[in-house]
Amino acid sequence: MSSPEPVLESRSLLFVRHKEMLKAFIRVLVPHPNDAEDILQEVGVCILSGRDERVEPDLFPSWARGVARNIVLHHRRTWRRSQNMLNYRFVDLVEMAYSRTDAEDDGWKQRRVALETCIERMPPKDKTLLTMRYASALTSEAIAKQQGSSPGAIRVALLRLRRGLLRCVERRLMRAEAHS
Amino acid sequence: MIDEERVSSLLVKHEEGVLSGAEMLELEELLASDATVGRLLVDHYSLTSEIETILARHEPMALSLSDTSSTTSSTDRPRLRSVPIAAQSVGKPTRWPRRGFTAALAVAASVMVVLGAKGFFPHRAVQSLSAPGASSAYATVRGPGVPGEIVGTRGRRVIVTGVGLDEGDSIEVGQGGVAVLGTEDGSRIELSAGARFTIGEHQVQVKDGISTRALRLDKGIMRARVTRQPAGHFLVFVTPHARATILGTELSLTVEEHSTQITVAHGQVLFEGLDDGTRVTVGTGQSATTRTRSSGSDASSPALLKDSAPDAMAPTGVFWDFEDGVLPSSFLLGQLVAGPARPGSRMAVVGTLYGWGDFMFTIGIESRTPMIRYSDESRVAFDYWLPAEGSEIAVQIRNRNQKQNYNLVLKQNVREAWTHLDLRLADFQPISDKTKVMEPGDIVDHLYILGGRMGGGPFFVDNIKVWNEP
Repeated sequence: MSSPEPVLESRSLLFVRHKEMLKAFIRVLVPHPNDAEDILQEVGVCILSGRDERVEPDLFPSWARGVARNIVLHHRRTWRRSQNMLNYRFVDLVEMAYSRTDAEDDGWKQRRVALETCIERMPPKDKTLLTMRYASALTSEAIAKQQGSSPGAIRVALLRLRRGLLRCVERRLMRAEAHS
Repeated sequence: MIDEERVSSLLVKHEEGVLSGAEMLELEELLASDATVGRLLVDHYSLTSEIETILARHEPMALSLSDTSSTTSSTDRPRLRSVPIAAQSVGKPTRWPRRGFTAALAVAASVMVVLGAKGFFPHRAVQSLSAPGASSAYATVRGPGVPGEIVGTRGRRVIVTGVGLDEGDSIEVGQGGVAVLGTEDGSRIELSAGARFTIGEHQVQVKDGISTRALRLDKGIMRARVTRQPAGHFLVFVTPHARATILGTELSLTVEEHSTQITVAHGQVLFEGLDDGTRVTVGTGQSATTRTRSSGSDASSPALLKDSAPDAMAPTGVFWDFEDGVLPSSFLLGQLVAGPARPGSRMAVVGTLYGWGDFMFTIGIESRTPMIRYSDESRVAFDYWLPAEGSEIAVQIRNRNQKQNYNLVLKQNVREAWTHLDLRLADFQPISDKTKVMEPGDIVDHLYILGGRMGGGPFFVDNIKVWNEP
C-alpha cells in the first residue's frame, strides 16, 4: 500500500478546520443565526459529498466561501427582509475582506476559551442582554420593547458589552501568557 | 481616517438585518475605500459568531440530567438552540430538523423567565423562590415537585418547591424525577433519580483549623454549579469513596457501588480517594475516578485515576478511556459507542466513515494545546478492534514544529478481537519532506488512527494514550 496522503489536506478535514470562519462569513451575509446555521450545513453537504479530493489548503478558504456565497445567493429570495443587504457588490466586498485575512492565524481559536469564561462571569444583567440578542436572536427593537428602552440605547449597550468582552479576553490571554 | 464608532454602529445594525438602504450603501462605500473596515467587519462577525456558539451551549442544566446511570458533560450534549417565545412568531421553517429543536421550544419559556429576571443561576434566586419560613434552611427545593422524600429531624416530607433542607436532612429522589436544590450561597445542585443526598451529616476538616459542613452523596448522580466561595470558605462533597473540595465550579459526581467519578466542566476541584488518601486536582474538562481496592480492579493500578483532557494536561501526555461517557471536544472524527464487549470497559470510539487511501474509518484528535513534546521515549498506545475486512491500521501524528505529519502503517493486525498496540513515535515516518526528522521538544498536537475497508465492518479504538516514557 502506498503511503497515505496527509489527512489535513483533504477537503472534509479542511472544512472542519475552517468551519468557524465559514460560519462567521455566512453570518455576515445572513441576518438570522438559524439561517446561517442552515447554510453552513448546506455548504458542508456540498463540500463533503462526492469524492473527498485533496485540495491546496491555502486555496480552500476562498473556495469554500465561494460555495457558501453561491448557496446564500440561491436562497436570498427567502429572506425578503434583508434583500437590500445582500447584493453582489456587498458579497464581493465581504469576500475581499475575508481573503485579506486568510493568511493570518485565526486568533479566535485561542480566544474561545477565554471568551467563554468572560461571558460566564458577566453580570447577570449584561448576560441577559447578550443572551436576548445572540442566543434568542431578538433585534434591538424587540429587546427595547421588553426592557422599556430604545433600540439605539440597546445597540450602544451591546457595543459596550462587546468591547468589554474583547478587553476581558485580552486580559485573560495576557495573564495566561504571563503565567506560562 | 475611518470613524470606527460609525463602522461599529453600522455593523451592529447590519447583523440585526435592520440597515436602511442608505446605511447599507454607506457600509459598502466604507468597505470599498478602506481595508481597515473589512478587518473590522471580519472581527465583528467573528465575535458575533463565537458569542452565538457559546450561548447556544448554555442550555439549562436540568435538561442534561436524565435518570440513567451515566452522566454527560456540556461538550457532548445535543446542541439546543435557545429559541425565545417572542422569536417564534417571526421564525421561519427550517430545511433540516435540528436535534433538540422541539425540546428547545418546550423549555424556551422557562429559560426566558430565568434570563429575563436574573440571568443564569442568579445568586439571589434561591431566597426569592424559598417558601415562607424556609429562609433559614441551608438548601431549598426548586422547580416542580418530584417523586421521592426528604427524611430528617422534621420527619418525612415530600419533595416540593420551597421545602427547606437543614443539617441532617436527607433527600432521596424517586424514579422519573430530577430534584433541583438551591443552597444559601446561591449554588445549584441537581440530583438524578435514585440519588440519595444528605446535608451536613459530617464535619470535615479542610485545612488546619478549618472545618466545614459536608454535603454527602451516597448514591446516584449529582451535578452542581457552585457559587465562588469567599476566601476561607469551602464546599465539600463526600461520597462513600471520595471527597471533593470546591472553591467555585461546575461539576458532576457519579457514585456507583465501588467507585466515584468526578467530571469538572468549569473550575478546579481537589479530589481525594478515601481508600488510600491519594489526591489529584481536577480541572476544567477533566474527570477522575476513584475505586475501592475491593472492586476487583488491577491491584497495581492506583486507586485514583485521572482521565486527562489534552487542553488541561499538556504537555505531559494524554489518556482517554471514555468510561465517563464523554467524548472530548478535541475529537474531530470518531463517535462514542459501547463497542464490542469486553470485561472492564463499557465505552469505546468507533471511527467516522471517512475515506483516506484504502482506509475507511478514522478517529481524529486535534488538540489546541500540545499532547506531548516529542522525545526518543515518546509513545502512542491504544486498544483496537478491526473488522474482518482489512488488517491494516495507519497511525498519524502532526508535528507542529516541523509543520508536517508523520505516520506508521501497520499490516497484518489481529482482526475481530480487542488487541493492544504500543508504538514508538521515533518509528513514525515523515510524509511530505522526508528530510525533516522529529526533534526533541517538538510539539505533537494531532493524532489520527485509521482502519477498516470499504464495505466492511466498523473500526473501534479504546484507551488511547500518548505519553513520554519516563
